[in-house]
Amino acid sequence: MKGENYLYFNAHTAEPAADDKAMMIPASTVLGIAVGAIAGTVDVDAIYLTCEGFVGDGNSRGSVVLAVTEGKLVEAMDDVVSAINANPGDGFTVIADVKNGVYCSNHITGCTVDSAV
Amino acid sequence: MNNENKNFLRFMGFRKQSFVVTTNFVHDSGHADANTMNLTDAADGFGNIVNPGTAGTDLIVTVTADGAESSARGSQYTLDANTGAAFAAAANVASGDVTRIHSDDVGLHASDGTVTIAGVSSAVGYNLNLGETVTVYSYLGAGDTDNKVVPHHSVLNATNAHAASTAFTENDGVVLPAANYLGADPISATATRLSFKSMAGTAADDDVLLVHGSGKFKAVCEMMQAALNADYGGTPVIITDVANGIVPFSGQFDLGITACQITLA
Repeated sequence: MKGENYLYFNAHTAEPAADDKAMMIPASTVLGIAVGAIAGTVDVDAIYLTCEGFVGDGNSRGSVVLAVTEGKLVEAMDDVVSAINANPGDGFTVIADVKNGVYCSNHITGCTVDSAV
Repeated sequence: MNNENKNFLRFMGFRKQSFVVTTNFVHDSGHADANTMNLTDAADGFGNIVNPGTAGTDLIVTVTADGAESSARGSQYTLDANTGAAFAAAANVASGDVTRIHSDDVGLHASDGTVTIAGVSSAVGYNLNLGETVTVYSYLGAGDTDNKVVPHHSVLNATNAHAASTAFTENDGVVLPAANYLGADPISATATRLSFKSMAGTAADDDVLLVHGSGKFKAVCEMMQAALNADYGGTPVIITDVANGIVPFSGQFDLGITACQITLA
């Protein structure tokens, strides 16, 4: 039975082999997507996706800063939501994979991963 | 039971506050300094003032005159911001003139919401006078180069180059899971606070304050129920985008939303 989509992020140009180079999260743990690079920090070309923290204490978050083409922040947010709710055959959904140059939106150009903020 | 609602709701921030000059250079904002206003973080104010932007380039500021004032405006100001018509005289303000202040003449404190308009000095500046109304806007893209909300600039680009905003924050736009919706509170007759589980993953909640027509709380609740349960094929449900004139469900709920203040925990 397919449970839900799982979202894949790889911020690294090589195969990820260390903390915060990449992560995969259940779509249901996404807490939101906001304009800007990080909470309270201004930016012209980034959006900020957060998810429930991996430590499971209910008081933390994981985060991904997605680099976005300037002027396309809203479109990129919408594309990420569409990808989250897409129906790939196996539930494996690539949001941003820097190593392989695969992105769920034409407006996303990279990402930075932090599994425990 | 887990909430398996997979909808996402998009809120685009739109912050706006107006001040009437009560005596020359002293404002009902409570700020006594010349040409200075304090944006306030309230339902009837501007909203989050920690992140109003980083400079005057991130705001739109207009002054609407209630009477004639001589030599109160820099000579670079030549066009009415609402109509695009030429001012009768650049330096002399006439009743009804709407002057859009150039970002070079707007100062913004980094964190306390204090906005200052430079006084007149030859080509630049504006001297505020009794009875005039100052309106400050902030939204994604607001600044000299954006004409979605205020259709014209009072200073021609060729006269003093328009600066684009480059400072966007979560207050300008957020997409939140419907599954994280916690509830709606009627803060006043014209404001409803929507709460969501925090994007920060902490116990505090994220708030989206909708400023709307009087007595519309129940209509807001009905709209939210429709949005939370909508079938949009996986795309976000747009709840607010005031700057682009987008209203939820094509206006069928007649909410009259005029501002959206996003405050994340």
